[in-house]
Amino acid sequence: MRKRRWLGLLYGNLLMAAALMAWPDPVSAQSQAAGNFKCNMLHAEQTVAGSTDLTSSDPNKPTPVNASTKDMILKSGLPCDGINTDKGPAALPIANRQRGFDFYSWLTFIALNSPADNPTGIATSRPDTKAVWEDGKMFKPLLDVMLPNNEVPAWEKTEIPPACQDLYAERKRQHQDRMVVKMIEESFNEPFKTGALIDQHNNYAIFDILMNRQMFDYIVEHGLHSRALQESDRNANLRVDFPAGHHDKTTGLGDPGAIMLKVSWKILTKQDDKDKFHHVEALVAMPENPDEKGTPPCIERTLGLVGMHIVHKTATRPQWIWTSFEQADNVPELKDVQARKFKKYYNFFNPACEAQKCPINATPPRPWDPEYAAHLQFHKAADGKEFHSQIVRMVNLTDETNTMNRQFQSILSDTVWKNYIMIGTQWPSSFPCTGDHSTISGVPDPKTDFDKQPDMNCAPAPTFLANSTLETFSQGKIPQASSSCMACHGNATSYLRRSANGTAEQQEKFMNQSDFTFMLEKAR
Amino acid sequence: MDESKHRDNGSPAQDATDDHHVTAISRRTVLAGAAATAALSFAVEARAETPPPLAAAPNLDAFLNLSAALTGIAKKMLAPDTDSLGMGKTYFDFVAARKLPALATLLQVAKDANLQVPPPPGGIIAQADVDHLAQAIAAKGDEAKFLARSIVLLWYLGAWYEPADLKAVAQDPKHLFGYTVVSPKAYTQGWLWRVAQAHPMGYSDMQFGYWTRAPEPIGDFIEFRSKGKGA
Amino acid sequence: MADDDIDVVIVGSGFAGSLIANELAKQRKKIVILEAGNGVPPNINDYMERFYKASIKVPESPYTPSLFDSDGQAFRNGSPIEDPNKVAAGRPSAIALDAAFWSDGNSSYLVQNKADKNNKPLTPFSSTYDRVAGGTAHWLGTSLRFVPNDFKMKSKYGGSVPELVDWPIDYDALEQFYHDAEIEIGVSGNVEEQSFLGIQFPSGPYPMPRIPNSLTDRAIAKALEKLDPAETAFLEMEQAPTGIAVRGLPAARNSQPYKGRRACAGNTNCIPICPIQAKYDPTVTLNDALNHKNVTMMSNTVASDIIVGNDGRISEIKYIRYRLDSNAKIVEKVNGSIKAKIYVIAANAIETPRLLLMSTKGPHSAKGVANSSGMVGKHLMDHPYYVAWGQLPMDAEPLFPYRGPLITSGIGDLCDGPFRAKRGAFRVDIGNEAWNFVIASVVKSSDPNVTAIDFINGINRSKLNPNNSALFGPALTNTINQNITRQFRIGFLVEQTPDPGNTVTVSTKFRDGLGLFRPEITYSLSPYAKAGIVAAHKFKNLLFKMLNATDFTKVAEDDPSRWVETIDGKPVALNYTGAGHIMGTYRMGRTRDNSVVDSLQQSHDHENLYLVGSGTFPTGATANPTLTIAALALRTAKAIAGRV
Repeated sequence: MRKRRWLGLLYGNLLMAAALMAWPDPVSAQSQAAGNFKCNMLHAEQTVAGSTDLTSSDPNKPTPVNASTKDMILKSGLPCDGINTDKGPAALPIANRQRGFDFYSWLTFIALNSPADNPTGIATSRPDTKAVWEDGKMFKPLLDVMLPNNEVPAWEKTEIPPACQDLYAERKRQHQDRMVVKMIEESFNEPFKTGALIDQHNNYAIFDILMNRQMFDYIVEHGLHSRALQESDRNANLRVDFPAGHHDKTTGLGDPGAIMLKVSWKILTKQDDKDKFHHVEALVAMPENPDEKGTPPCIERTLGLVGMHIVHKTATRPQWIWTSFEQADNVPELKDVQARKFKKYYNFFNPACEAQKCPINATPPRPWDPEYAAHLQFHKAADGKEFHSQIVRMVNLTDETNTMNRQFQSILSDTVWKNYIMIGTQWPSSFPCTGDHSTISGVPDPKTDFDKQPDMNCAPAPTFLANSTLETFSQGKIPQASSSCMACHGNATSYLRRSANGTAEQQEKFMNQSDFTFMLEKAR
Repeated sequence: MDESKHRDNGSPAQDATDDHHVTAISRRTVLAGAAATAALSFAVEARAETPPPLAAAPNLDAFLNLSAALTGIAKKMLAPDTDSLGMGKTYFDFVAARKLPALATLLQVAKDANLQVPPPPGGIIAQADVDHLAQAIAAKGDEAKFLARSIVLLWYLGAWYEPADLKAVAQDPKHLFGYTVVSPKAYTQGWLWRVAQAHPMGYSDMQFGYWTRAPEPIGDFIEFRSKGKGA
Repeated sequence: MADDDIDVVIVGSGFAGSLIANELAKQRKKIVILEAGNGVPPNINDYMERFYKASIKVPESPYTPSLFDSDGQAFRNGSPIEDPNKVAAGRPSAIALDAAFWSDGNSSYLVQNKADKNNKPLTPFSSTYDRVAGGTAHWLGTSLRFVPNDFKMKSKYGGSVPELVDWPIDYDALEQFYHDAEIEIGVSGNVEEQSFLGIQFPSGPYPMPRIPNSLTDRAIAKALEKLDPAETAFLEMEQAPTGIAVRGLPAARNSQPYKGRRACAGNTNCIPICPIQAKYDPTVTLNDALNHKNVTMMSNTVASDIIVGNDGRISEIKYIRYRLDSNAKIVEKVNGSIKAKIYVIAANAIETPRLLLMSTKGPHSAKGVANSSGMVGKHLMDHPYYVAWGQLPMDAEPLFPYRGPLITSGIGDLCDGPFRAKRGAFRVDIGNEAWNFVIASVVKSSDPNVTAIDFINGINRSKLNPNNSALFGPALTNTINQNITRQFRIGFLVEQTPDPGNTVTVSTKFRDGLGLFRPEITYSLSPYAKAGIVAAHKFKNLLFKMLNATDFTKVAEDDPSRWVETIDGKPVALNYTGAGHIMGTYRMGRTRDNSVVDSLQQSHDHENLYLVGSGTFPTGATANPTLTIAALALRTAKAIAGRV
C-alpha cells in the first residue's frame, strides 16, 4: 500500500556507541507495520540544554557544550514525535514542556537541514549544501502535487515549467543543479492576501510549500490531489486524517508521519553576504500577472533561506507541532526599536530610516503582482523611489527561546546554521484534549478527534506565533485576528462533500475539515 | 495603487495591549522583581493602577478554590496544570489591583472552608460545600457578598462588574450599569458560554458545520475528565 | 494621475462602489475612489481588539471612527463619549438610539426630528451604517434575491396603496446579474430550496453549497410543519397555509474555501465582524480593484460639493481631505477637487442624498444635484424589524443557541401574496443567538450577561428568575445551562411603503467635524407598515403556540418606536428597530418627474452621473438589499464600461 521513503537520518545515543547507519535501501523500506525508521529519541534533559542552569553569568556567552554532546546532537536525526517532559529548571510546568518542544524543534531543524547526501554530516556542510528537505526524494513542492486536469502526481517526477525548460536543460548539461521554484500568488502574497514582503534591495521575498512522502501518499491514495475527486462520492464522509509520527520507546524505531514545510527565500545580490544564508541556485518561474499578457518569465537567482515553518503530525500531538525558524538578521524586535538598539543591517529593516518615512509593518503600495519585466524587483513609484518593507518583530522572543538559540548556535558554530534562530514552537497543551481520540466507529488511525468541543485545537501554547517573513502583517496578540498557527489552520477545510453513502453516524458527523492544512484547497 | 494604511503614529502599536502570556516566566523572573510583575499587570488594561506585588502562592490557590467553588467549573479547567493562558493569575492580579479589602476577607473564608476538590472525572466542588462557602461569605457582609459575585462574572464573561453596581441593581432593578472587559483574551476565555455548551460570540475553536449537530455534553465543557494520557 | 486621464470617479467604497471599481478596473479603466473614512487596514487586529473590549457590542463597534475610549467605554456620565459635532466623517450608531439620545443632535449623528411640521410625532430611523473603506462591513451576509412580484408592486397590488410604484426593471432582466454577483461575492445556497415564489436560476447555481442549518431552525421548521388553516387565514395568502417552510438563508458566507478565504467556523459574530473573513465584505473586492495600476483610492476624503457645468453635466467634485492624530482629532484639512468623464456616487442612501442636496451652489443645482423631480432624499425606507423572544419549556429538547452563524435559516414563503394590497409583507429571521441583542431593547443590556447576572446576583431583569435566586456552583451552572439552551429569538423584516414624508434632508443647524451640515431625518411608519407588523405579531403568537414556548417579548415604556395597537380587541404594545437596510432616497423609475435615476442608475438630469446603491430602490421588498445592490451595480458597471 503505502510506500515509505526514509528520511535516512541516524541518531546517537548516550547508552550506545554512535553508529553510522547507511541510507536504507528504499525497497527494504516497504515492509513496515511498526516501522523501522530510527527516530531521534533524545530528551532535553539528556543534553546540556536540559540539565544545567540556562543562564550563565554573561548572557552573550552560552554555557559551553562539550564535544561529544555536540556530536551526538548533530547526528541524532529526526524525532518521530514531540519531546514531552515536565523536567527542567523552570517553576511552571508549562515552561518546562515548552523547552522540551523547543528542543525537539531544534533537533528537527538540524535533521531536515542536514546534507541530503550525508544526513549525519551537518557539521561539515557548506552554506550551499543541498539539504534533506530540498531533495526531491524527500519532500515535494505543493504545486507538483496539485496538478491540473486530475493528473495523478508521481513522487519521482519533477515538473519543470515550460518557461524554465531551456535554461534548466542548459544548466544540466553544465552539470549544475538548479532548484526550480514555481510561483503562484501565494508565493509572494502572504496568507489571505495580507501582503508582499520587499527586502532592502527591492526584491520580493518568495514563499514555497512542501510535503513529505507520508503526506503525499495519503493525498494520492484518497484522490485529494484533484478537486473533482475531493468532491466526488468516493470521498464522501472521508475524515481527512494524515498519518501521525510515532516511535517505540524501547526500540527507538518508528515512523515520522506527515511533515509539511513552508519556507521563505530572499533573493541574494552582490550586496548580500551569501555565506550568512543557506543558499541555493534556483530557477524561479514568475507568477501570472492578471494585468499583463504573455507568459511570465523564468529567472535565475541565488536564493537565501530566511524563514522556515516545520509542521509535524505526531501520535501524541495529533493537532500537529508547529515550529518556526528565521535567519538571524531578518528584523529587529520591538524592544530593539523601543531602545533604539539596532544591528548594522537587517534583511527586512533599515535602521537608518525614521518611523515617519518608513512606517513599521506597512504593506507595500499596490499593485502587488510582480511585473514580468521587473524580474521580481518591486515596482518603483512614479518619482523612481523604491519601497522596502520595514518589518519589526512585534512579540519579543522569550528569554528561554533566546537562551536555547544561543546554545544551538554554539553547537552549529562551524556551519551556516549558526545564523538561524528558532522563533518558537506552538503545540497543543491540553493533554485531556490531545489524548482524546475519535469515537466514531470505523475511523482509521490515528483517529484524530476533530469534534472536540469547545476547543479542537487543544489549547495551543503559546497562544500566538508569527514568523516575521511569513506572517509579517498579522503579528500581534488579538485572538482570531493575530497570527496563531493552530487557530488559523484549525479552520482549514477541503472540498469534500457529504453524500448519502456511509453509516448514519458518518453522515451525521460529516466534516469537511482538512486536518490543519490548507494544501487541499489548492487542488485544481 | 492606494495609500496603504499604516499604523497612524508610525510607531509600532499593540504594546499597550500586549497581554504578556504567563507561560514562559520562571520563578526566578517572578521573584526577581515586583517591578517586572508590575509591568506585566500594567499590560492588563482597564483603569490600571499599579498593582501590589504578586501575592504568595497560597493566596492564588485560595482564589482558585474560591473561584472553582462559586463558578461551578472544575478547578483544573480554570487553571490547568499545563496552563497556556494563565487566567487565574490574570484575574487574581486584576482584583488585587482594585484594592478592595473584601478580597482578603474572601481569601480567608476560602482557606477556612477547606474546600475539597474531587478527583477526576468531574472535579467539581460539591454543592453542599459551595452552599456553606456562600453562607460564610454572606455572613461577612455586603462587600464580600457582592465581590464574590463580581469574581464569578469575571470568570464567566472576562469582564469586571463593580460590586457596588451589583448591589445597587439588587436594590433597584432599573439601575443602569456597564462593565469593563479585562482584555480580548479574557473575553475569549469566558466560561459562561461554555456553561451554555457554546462559545463566546466572536471566538470559535470549532469546525465548519459543528452547529448543525447538538454539542458535546456539558461535562466536556466544564468538567475535568482527564481521559487522555498525560505525557 | 492627471485629471483629464480619469475615466470614473467613485464616491464611496462600499458594496456598490467597490464592485463597480473592480469591474471597471478589470477593463483597464482609470478609476479614482474617494472614501470618506479610513482606508483598509493591513489586518483586522485593531477592529477585533476594539470589538472584544467594547462594553456595548453594537454593529459599529469594531470600526473607525471608534465609539469607545481605551477602556472600551462608550458612555461617560450617562452620555455617549462620541460627539458627532466633532467627528470628521461620522455615522449613526445604535448607541445613540436610546430614548434619551435619538433626537438630540448633540448625541446622535443623524439629526432626527421628533415631530414633523404638523407636530405629528415621529419615530426613530433605527438603522446604521459604517463609514470606512469597504462600507458597511458589519452586515450579516444575507444574500437573497427579490421575488419577481417585488418589482411590480404597483401593477400587482397598487390599487388602494397609491405610494406603491413599479421598478423600471424586472426579475428576468436582473437575473443574470444576480448570478454574477453571487459568484463575485461568493454566496452559499441551494437552488432547489431557494426556488420559491417565482425565483428561478437560469444563469446557473450558487458557487457553494448551502450552510447547514441549526437546531433552532429545525425546531421551528417542525413546529410549522402542520398548521390549521383557520389559524393561518389572517395572513391572507392566496390560500391559508397548512404548513410553512423554513428555508436556509443564502449568504455570502463560505461553506468551503472560496477565493482564498476560509469556510465559516461558526464564530457567531457575523454582525459586527467575522474574525476570519469567511463572510464576504467589500474590502475583498476593493483590494482586488486597488491591485490594478489604474485604480487609486483617496481615503479620509469627503466629497463635499458636486459641481454642475453650464452644459448640465457634472464638471467636478470638490472634496475635503483630512488627517487625524492617534486620538482621532482632526489635525489637518485640505480642500481639493477632481474631474473625470463619469461620476458615480456610491455613498449609501443617506450620505448620497445629503451630498446631492448640499450641492446647491451652481445655477443648475438650486434644489440640489440630480433633483429636478424633487425626489432626492424622499421615500426613505428601512425594513422595520419587529423582534420577539421566548423560551421552550424545561422538558423540551434544548436548542443550543450561540452556535453557528447568527442566522442560518428563515421564512420567505410569506413574502408575497394578495395581502400586499393591504399590508406590508414580512420575511422571518430565525436567530441563532438567543436573546443576545433583543433583550437590550427592554433591559438596556445584552445577553447572555443579563441572564447570567440574574442568577448570580439574585435579580430578575430577564424574567427567568421570578424567585430572585442567587446561585453558585453546580446549581448555577445547571440553571444557566437549562435556561440559555432553550432560549430563542425571531425577527420580522417588514416592507414599508415609500412615503414621500419620510425624508433625508440637510440639517441647517448641526455640522460634523469638517464643518459640513449633517443629515436630518424625518421618519415614521405608515399604516401599511404597521399593519405588516401587526400580522407579524400574530404570526409570532402562532409560532410560539406551536412551539409551546413561553413568550418573553416586551416593549419598554420609553421605547421611542413604541405604539399601541388594538388586536382582537386587546391593546398590544408594538415596536420596531432597524434592519440596517436604508433604501429609496433617489429612486429609479422611467420618467424624470417621478424618479431620480433610470434602471441603469443613471441620473435623468445629468448624463455623466450615476447614483448607485439601495437609494435607487423604488420599493423595499422584504429581502435584504445587498444582493440586489450588487446585481444593479454590476449592471451599471457594464453600462459605464461601454461609455469610457
